[in-house]
Amino acid sequence: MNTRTTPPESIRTEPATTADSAVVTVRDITHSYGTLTVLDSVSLTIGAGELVAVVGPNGSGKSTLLRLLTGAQRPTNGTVVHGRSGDESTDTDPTVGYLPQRLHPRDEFGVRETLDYYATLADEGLDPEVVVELVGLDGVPDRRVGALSGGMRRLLGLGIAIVGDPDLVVLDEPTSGLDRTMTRRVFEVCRDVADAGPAVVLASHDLSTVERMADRVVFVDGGCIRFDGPPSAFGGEDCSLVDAYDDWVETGENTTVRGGTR
Amino acid sequence: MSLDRRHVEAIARREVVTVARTRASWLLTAGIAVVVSGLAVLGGGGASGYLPVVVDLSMPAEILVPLLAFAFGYRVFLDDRRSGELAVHAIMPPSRASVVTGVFLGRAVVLAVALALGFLPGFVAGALAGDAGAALYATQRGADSPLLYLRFVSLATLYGLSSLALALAVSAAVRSTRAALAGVFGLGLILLVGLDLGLFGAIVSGLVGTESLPVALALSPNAAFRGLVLTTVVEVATVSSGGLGVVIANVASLVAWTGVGLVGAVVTVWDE
Repeated sequence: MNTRTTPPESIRTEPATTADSAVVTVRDITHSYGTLTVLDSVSLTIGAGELVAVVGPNGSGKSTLLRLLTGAQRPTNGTVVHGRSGDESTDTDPTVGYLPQRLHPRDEFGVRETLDYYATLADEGLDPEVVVELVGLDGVPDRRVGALSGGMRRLLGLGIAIVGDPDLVVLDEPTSGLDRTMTRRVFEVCRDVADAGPAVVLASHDLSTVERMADRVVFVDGGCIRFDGPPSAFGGEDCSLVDAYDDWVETGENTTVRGGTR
Repeated sequence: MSLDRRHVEAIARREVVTVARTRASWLLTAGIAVVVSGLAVLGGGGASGYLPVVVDLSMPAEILVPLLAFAFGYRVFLDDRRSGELAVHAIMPPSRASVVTGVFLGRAVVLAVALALGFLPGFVAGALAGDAGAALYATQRGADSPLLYLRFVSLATLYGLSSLALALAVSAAVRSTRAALAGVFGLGLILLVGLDLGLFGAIVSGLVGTESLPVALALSPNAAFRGLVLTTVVEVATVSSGGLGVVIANVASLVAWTGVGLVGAVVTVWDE
């Protein structure tokens, strides 16, 4: 039995990321949809080569945080700064790759055709042939998207996110609907990508894989970051990430599985 | 708002391939061809030459052309938004203007081909009329000519482009299929009926005088198309034309509507 119960109200380990290696810096952002505040005073710095897993209950603000990280959406308050130069612009960064929670590329195109297209839009990037192989779709490069399984489409989505060779790869639940083998494959690809230099930020509910593969866990709950640090620090020495997370969600008074704070 | 040629080309190519590989597009084109065949035969113009066919088709074309253009355009951005692809485009280098321009150009190529194929039976009907005089490649007064029919189809394409741009604007602005359908239906109603009725009311009430009528008629896309067909196809072959001013006003109207649609799509496709 694990001895560690829930983590304290908010644990923030010292970030390993320095300003020099920062790929994206989030400064005190708050984001609301009408009267509903989904993120509240969130700050975060993500550095090159990091594989960061954003975890938390449904409706905790993970997807919103990821969209803000891409620069495609502006926070209600606060800033999202891309790049290492300290550029204060919150404009869309051209070196961001993004896999939304739901991505269904056009059915009429083949796997390779789809990646070719996005590679062209990215201006500079990886060879689509290499990406097809990297994400494990080399057996079906000419298969139409409409004929791919849900898991294969997620892999293609992962390929789209990385084909531009971005500095920051943002993946919203890339393993959603995937079996264990595919899930492991996705994390391995993410690990490889991060090891090659870019920062990879992904949202996932697969905590056991997160614990094994991620450098950092950012636990979002009720629109706030409750924990930011290595997976091993989340539950303490004798408690796995899964157990500590379950304890937190089941007993934490501030847990908001219902969708943000009002 | 910069346009990158490479991006525009890639996006346009994607649109052409998408539509070309969609069976519904071909069925729509075939449907237009069937309707055109029927109108050419039933109207009797097909037995008389190109110009009578144009006269038979010009009024139905005011409905058929935007119908086809709306069908090609009203869901493009909506579908891309739902599929998540618009969100991916939004964080990539191409600007909103490049994306909208690429989509428009790609769909425009497809629309032009579809209209050429759809109106082909009218050309065949005119050719089968067998009048030796009709074979003359001339545009002088009194001569029927295949060029007149080609000019008619070109004008229909110009008219279709303005409808396509407006459909893209609707597609970029809405968030559901129902809203998209309501949008294009409402837009069609306003443009095809509302503006004409408004103009009619303005004439009756004396707000628009007879001297400014030709230019005022150019306000709505369908009236501009009608005016162009009359001045550059029908009147050229029959009576004296309405003059260059009217032609310019009608062309400017269609170009302006196209611009309005494209700007609307650029502004609404995603927030920057």
